[in-house]
Amino acid sequence: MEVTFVVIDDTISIKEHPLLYTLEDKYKNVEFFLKPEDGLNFITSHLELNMIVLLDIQFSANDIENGHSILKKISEKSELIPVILWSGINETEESFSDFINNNAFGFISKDATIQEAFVLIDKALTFLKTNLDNIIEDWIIQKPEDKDIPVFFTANGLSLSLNQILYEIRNQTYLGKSFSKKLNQLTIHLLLNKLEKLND
Amino acid sequence: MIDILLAFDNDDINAGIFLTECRDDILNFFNGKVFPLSIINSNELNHNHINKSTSHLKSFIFVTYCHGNETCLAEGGANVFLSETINISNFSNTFFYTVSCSSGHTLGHELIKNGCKNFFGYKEHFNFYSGFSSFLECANHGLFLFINGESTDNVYSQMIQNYDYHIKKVYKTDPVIASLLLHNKNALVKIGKNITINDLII
Repeated sequence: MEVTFVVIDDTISIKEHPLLYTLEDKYKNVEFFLKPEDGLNFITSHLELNMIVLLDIQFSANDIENGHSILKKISEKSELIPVILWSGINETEESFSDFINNNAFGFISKDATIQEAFVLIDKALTFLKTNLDNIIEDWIIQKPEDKDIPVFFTANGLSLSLNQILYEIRNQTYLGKSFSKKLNQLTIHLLLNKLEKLND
Repeated sequence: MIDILLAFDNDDINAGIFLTECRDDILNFFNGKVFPLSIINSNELNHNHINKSTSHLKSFIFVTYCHGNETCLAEGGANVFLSETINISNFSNTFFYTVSCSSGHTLGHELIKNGCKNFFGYKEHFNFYSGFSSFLECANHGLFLFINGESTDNVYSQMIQNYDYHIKKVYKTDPVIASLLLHNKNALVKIGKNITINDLII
């Protein structure tokens, strides 16, 4: 699975951080943004990519956005993107409650070793690979047809286009979750009927 | 020969194309067969017309593809044309076959209590996805089997097998479609006695 790491940090020297070199070696696609709004623009205009975000928390006073506001805006666009807070701040001094509410995937200290950092990064990768919502998202994105034409209907009047389904899934609405619930049931059906088996 | 009433909400703004395709497939099936067919389209799908069409019949097959909920069927999702309180007693001695959301949850049981011999429908939402014929083929399959003489118990088990066939056909390339078909399969219900078409002949 191809993945793009999006790093949003206003400290230019972070580009030389060993973790980023390791990510480039291993995964190739690492996008670095000094300005938080540039990082946000990249994310919102590339939702079709599998992305993991490494997000600093504190930015310059001149920046309109900071880690808190960027995380909130990312989660408003899609709850399927793991956003890892990557910061040198003192965890006991920063307010974290909104990070939790806005579904931050986790926190890595800038002092953490590569090995320690990869514990969380690997979890984020597993999330992308195995999350049923991401599978549905990928299926929709690959569809060549016009994504604004209604294609899904129920016999009680509901109709949705692929883009509408994508919106529901990314925002984890009740309807969005119902799609992944159905996919979950399909997985069980396939396993029980021996059409598929679990990998060892 | 048994009367067959086919009621389709073919003009529905959302589901109309699918319902029309189902209707046309059913009419194609009946082409060349000698059955007294009455076709009711959207503009006649109201309780007055349904009552007029059914009240004089002692026994018949009623097929309706339309919107519904747990307790009623409705044209356009809003104009109720069949419910327990309006006209359910008209449907005693019938085979009732419907593709509508959730009518298998409550309405189907009420129809049976009021003398309907057998009901096929769905106890949850019925999903369909444009461009995949599996939904139509699965929706219509049971009706064709019943008309061809199969008992309702056999119809049900063959409909389930047919759903499984279509799920297996598409799941590798289109897992989302397969999941929607599985949902429909799991929602399918058969209520009432085990009958064949001959049991409707009075």
